[in-house]
Parts: sequence; C-alpha cells; structure tokens
Amino acid sequence: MSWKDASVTSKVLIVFTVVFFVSLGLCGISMATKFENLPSAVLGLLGMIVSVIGIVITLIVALIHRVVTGRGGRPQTLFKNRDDKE
Amino acid sequence: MIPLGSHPVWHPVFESLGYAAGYAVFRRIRARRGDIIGEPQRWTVIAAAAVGALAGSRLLGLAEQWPTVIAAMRAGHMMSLLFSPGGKTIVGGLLGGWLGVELAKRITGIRSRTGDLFVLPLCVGIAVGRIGCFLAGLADDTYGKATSLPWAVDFGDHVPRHPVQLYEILVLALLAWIATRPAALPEGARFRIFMAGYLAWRLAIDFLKPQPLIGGMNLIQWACVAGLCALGIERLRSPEPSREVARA
Repeated sequence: MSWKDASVTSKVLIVFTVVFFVSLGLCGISMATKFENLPSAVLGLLGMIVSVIGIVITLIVALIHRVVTGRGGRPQTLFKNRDDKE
Repeated sequence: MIPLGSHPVWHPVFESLGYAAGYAVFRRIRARRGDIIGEPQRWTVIAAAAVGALAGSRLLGLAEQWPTVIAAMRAGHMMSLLFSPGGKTIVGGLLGGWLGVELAKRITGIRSRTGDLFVLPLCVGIAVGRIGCFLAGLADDTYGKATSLPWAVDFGDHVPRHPVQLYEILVLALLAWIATRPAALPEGARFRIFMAGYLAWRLAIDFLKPQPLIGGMNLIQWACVAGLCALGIERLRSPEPSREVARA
C-alpha cells in the first residue's frame, strides 16, 4: 500500500490526525509526570490547536473543491447555471 | 489482591504502540487478502476514519466527563479542557470513524463495504492500547469497581478492583477469532459483527466502572445503545447481502 497513491486531501488529513494524537501524547506524558510546564506540554498544546485548525480548513477546502470541480461524478452545483450558458 | 499501583506514563506509550500495531496488521492483511477498492479510495477511507475517530473519541470522551465540563464552562476554562490530554474513548472513536467513513463514501461515490479489513487491526490496536490503560490504573478512567474476587487488582488506593481492561483484552481476542473465521459472509458483515460485539460488550462491562450516570447508564453506554440501534436499522434497510450469500 503506497503512500504516493493517496490524494492530497487524504495525506494532509492523516498527517494532521497523527500530529493531533502525538501532541495529545506529549501533553499526556507531561501531565502524568507532573511537569505541566515542560516544553512538551506547550508543544503538545500547540500541535493540537494547529492540527484541529488544519483539519477543519482542509475539510472545508476539499468540500469546496469537490463542489466546484464536480469530481467523483457529482454535479457541479455551484457553477451549473454559468456552465449551461457557456 | 494483586498490587500494581498506577503508572500513567505508560498510557501514551501503549496507545502509540496500539496505533502502530493496528496499522502493521492492516498492511499485512491487505497485502495477503487484497482489497475490494483501489489504493486512492482506501486512503480516502483511512483518512475519513482517522478524522472521524479523532472527533468522535474526543467529543464522547469530553461528554463522558460532563460534571467536569460543566464546572469548566462555568469557570470559563472550556478551551483548556478541550485541549486537555484526557477524555478520549474507544466507543466514540469507533462510532466517529464509522460515521466519517460513511460520509466520505457518500461524498466520493464509493459504494463498496470497506470495513472488513479494519476488524483485526482494530482488535489488535485496542488490545495493545488497553495494556496502557491497565498500567495507568487510577489515572485513566477505565478502572473497575471494587470486588472481592481473587484476581482483583490494587491500583494504588488499596481498593481491590476488577481488572476490566484485561477482561476487554480477552473479549477482543474472542471477537478477533469470531470475525476472522473463514466463513462465507457478505462484504462488510465481519465489521458489523465486530461493532455489534464490541458495543454490546461495552454496554455490559461499563456497569463495572465507576462513572457518572444519566438514566441508569453512563454516556458511553448510551452511545453503545445508539450504535447498536444504528447497526440494527442499517441491517433492516439493506437485507440484500444475506440474499447474496444464500445464492452463493
């Protein structure tokens, strides 16, 4: 199973999900060892925020792209009327 | 009583090992048995499952801790709670992942059942992760209620408790054996057997966990009921696979 065959959206979403869980793990280790102020906690928190924002933006962009281009056999709902005129 | 104590530092270690083991098993099974969908579609399904699992596990995990969430909201600490390391649950991950995959399949036009390849990886991954939950003890919200049974475990508070995490590993081994038996099953049936079995198990075993209750059950159990209902409704709405097997 080759990573090269994944679409850009899939790759980005998987990377952000991995970043989220790794960040969560960093926070977990930091909390578990009672060193809440260690850089791992800050890094973990930052990673979680970035990955959540990244996932949301990626999903929005992918959905807009799909609607606009009509990939996957879906109708081009946004520009259907304009295309018809052309 | 077996004295064990609580070692929360092992939780993220075994959680990571669980993800890695699950992915390794998935790759091996896919290489051996083949796949009914192409590689780009499979990656789409994996991405949807990952994002759905993340959202589901986090949302249900936080909802499960509703007294803490309400206190945090009143104190204005909601953001810090959302990004706190705790508050993830496997049931939420499974249901969220399932929902994510179904949504992605609808959007991308994939019609095949894609879950069968995930059954054994899920069993292995969850079982490895549960070792971390067991070692974490009282620091993880998955410990059991007090018992007088001889195999009870002391997680550091001198209370003999059910090792429910170990019970779950045994059940996962049983589910893996059932769901991977060589039988003529329609596509997707193995995943549904696994989901039904695991949700039914969690519905039962969570009565042995000291969690805040709503209507006699905790929120994870209510999510299990919802998931089992969804499986039942889906089964009633799509009876075709059983006819295919009968013809085969």
